[in-house]
Amino acid sequence: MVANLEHIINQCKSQDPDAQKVLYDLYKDTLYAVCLRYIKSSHDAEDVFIDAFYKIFTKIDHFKGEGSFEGWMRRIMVNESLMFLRKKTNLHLTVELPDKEIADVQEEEDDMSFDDIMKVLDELPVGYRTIFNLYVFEDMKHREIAEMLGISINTSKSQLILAKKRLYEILKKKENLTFKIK
Amino acid sequence: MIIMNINNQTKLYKSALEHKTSPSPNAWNRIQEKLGQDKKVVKMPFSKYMWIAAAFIAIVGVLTIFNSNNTIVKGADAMASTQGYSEQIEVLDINSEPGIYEIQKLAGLKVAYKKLSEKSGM
Repeated sequence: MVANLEHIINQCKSQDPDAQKVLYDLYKDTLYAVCLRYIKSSHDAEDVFIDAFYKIFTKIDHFKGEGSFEGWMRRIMVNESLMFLRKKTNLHLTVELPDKEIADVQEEEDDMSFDDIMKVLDELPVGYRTIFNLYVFEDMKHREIAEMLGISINTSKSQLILAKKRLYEILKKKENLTFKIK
Repeated sequence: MIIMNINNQTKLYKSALEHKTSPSPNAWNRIQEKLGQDKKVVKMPFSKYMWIAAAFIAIVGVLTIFNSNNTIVKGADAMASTQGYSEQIEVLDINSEPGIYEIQKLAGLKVAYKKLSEKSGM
């Protein structure tokens, strides 16, 4: 599989349309899901997905084989999604509160399942959702997130905690509603 | 102090890697369109420069040929003019009658001798 992928990548570097289609079919579902996690509207998410894939095909020469190719593509998807959010929405993040103690996160709040989170992720404000995505789903450190978004590490940390709390509250509310209906 | 559930976070990260959603069937067509437009743009400058280069080579070639022809023609003209002058002189000599020559013919003869002498370096 690895050798096959290498061959496909080399063919894509020569702008072979068949190889490009194969690569697209291999990764389209995974990469589109990345964009959907950042961008609420599926229409906008698809526009970003298309622009990002175009960038993948035109900049594929920049991939020198260091690290995972899928990881390289995901980073492009994430960067394009963030660029879109900066342009189209007010990627507003709360001001850093360095003197305020960051509250402990309760274990139960932290034990949400992926499916639960995906159901309510869209309901988070864009700032919370972005940092949550970068930290939890992209496995980035707060230092990296802070550099990428131009915020402080403390802001990144506090935004993450607030995002988790909000997610938990939303899920609890839905559960209660469901329970009441039952 | 933040207490994070590391196990759950790892699970969530792995779930995210495996999470899939399909884009619309039209998405690939749109990507192809963008790539196609890009290829057209790339092609045009290359063929444009080729045309310019070809035109330049053609012009240089024509000028070179013209120049060389011109040199030949000039040489031929020079030869012809020399011959012409010689013929004039011969004609005048053969057909001459002793006595009075027409002034124009005399003037022509004079010019012809003059040019002949210039050419022969006399």
